[in-house]
Amino acid sequence: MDEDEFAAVYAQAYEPLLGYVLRRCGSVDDAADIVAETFTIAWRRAAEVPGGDQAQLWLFGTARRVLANHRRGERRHLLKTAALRSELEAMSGAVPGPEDAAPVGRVFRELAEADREVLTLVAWEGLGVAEIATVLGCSRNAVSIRLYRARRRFARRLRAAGVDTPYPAAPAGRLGRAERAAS
Amino acid sequence: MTASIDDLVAGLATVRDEELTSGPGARELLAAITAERPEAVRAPRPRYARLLPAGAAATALAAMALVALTGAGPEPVRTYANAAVAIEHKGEVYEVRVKDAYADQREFAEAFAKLGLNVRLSIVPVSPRSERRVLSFGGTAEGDDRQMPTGGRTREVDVTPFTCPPAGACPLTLRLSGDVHSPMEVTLGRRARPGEVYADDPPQQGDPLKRLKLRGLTVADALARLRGNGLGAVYEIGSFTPGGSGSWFTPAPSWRPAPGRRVTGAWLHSSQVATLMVSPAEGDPQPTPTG
Repeated sequence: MDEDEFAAVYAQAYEPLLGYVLRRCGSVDDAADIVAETFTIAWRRAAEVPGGDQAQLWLFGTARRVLANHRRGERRHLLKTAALRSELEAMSGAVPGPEDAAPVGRVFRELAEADREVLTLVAWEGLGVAEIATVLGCSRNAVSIRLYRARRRFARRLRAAGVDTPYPAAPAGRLGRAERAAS
Repeated sequence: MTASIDDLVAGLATVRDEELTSGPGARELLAAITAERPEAVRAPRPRYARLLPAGAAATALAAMALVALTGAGPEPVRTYANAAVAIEHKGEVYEVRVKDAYADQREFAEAFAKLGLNVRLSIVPVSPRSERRVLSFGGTAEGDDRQMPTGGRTREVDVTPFTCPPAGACPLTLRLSGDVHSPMEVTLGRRARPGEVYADDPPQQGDPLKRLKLRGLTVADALARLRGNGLGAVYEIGSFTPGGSGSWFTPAPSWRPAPGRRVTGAWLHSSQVATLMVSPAEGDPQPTPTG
């Protein structure tokens, strides 16, 4: 992939990737770093970046790893500063933000990270099972099972929290954009 | 409340795609990234490479398993090497250099086991377009239900390159981090034998079956066209929404759609069998998740 081809991939994928990262990141500063790091990796490995719709999925998969590394660093930092933050919160009388009062959001945040990941790839990025499998680096069957279980767990916990939601059993697979275009 | 689970999750997004724009910042970032040649930003070679045998003595030494533990750096470096694979562990990352991914899998298993890594290198039959390509890599479903380890470490796998040379050995480099004791898998495609089911059977551009133009035909007409080309059929039940998303699942092998139903998609299942997708209808079998 030469510079012009990379620029074309960048132009097509920049906004979807920015959205993907912003929706999963605590701050816009961190999001900017992660988007920059992801595209830098892509440029470094330009020969391996696939063409067409697959390029965006490759970038999502790379951003996912960059985010995971970022979060690992955050966790280490949070562990170091746990006592200090506790003191500061007590001093400031911090109260939960408005988002914590919304039961759907609260229940969602209490789900396991793996459940939230597949649910948001469907609902926020609009990906199908095969596309998610590409991003996560696992089989379609694994994604179907994870998605089914995640929807079921979310629905169960919503009901336990008093949120009435019908839960039609999720289909085993979804077709993404690339597959629909090709079929 | 009538919202589906996916709608509820969609409503939690803090940023919507239509709110995103590409401004001067995006252009500056692109310019900054491409200002350097790709090879100039490549990471330096890992230190363990210098520890590996080289030159005329390489062949003899490579056949010997080597486990080293040194205190040369701020953190101990552990290495392991046999004829097929070399592994270095430093800090939180294991770097695995596989000399030929198509080599004897027992050598890989031995090496991974030596360092307590739960990694499987799977070679699966694929259609010609996926031969010698890495199909997937990451944590496996069997590890998904494990208790999250203390500290919330997840499994991470990276593979370089994604495509092997067209012939001969297939050298791969894996970088493993996080909870490496949870099962992880790297899946690589190999040429399928005649009739062997492809592990990469989703519809894709360039599928040789597209020339038969099966989409839109009745099942009966599609079967006739397949028979004329020496192909059999299996089925999937699929549906699409106006928004473009969709779903599919595989019914029991004995299930057959009525001959008058329309084919909504088709792709090769093996060199001798095609998959025909039909839209769901009343009375069809329902998906039963397993695992």
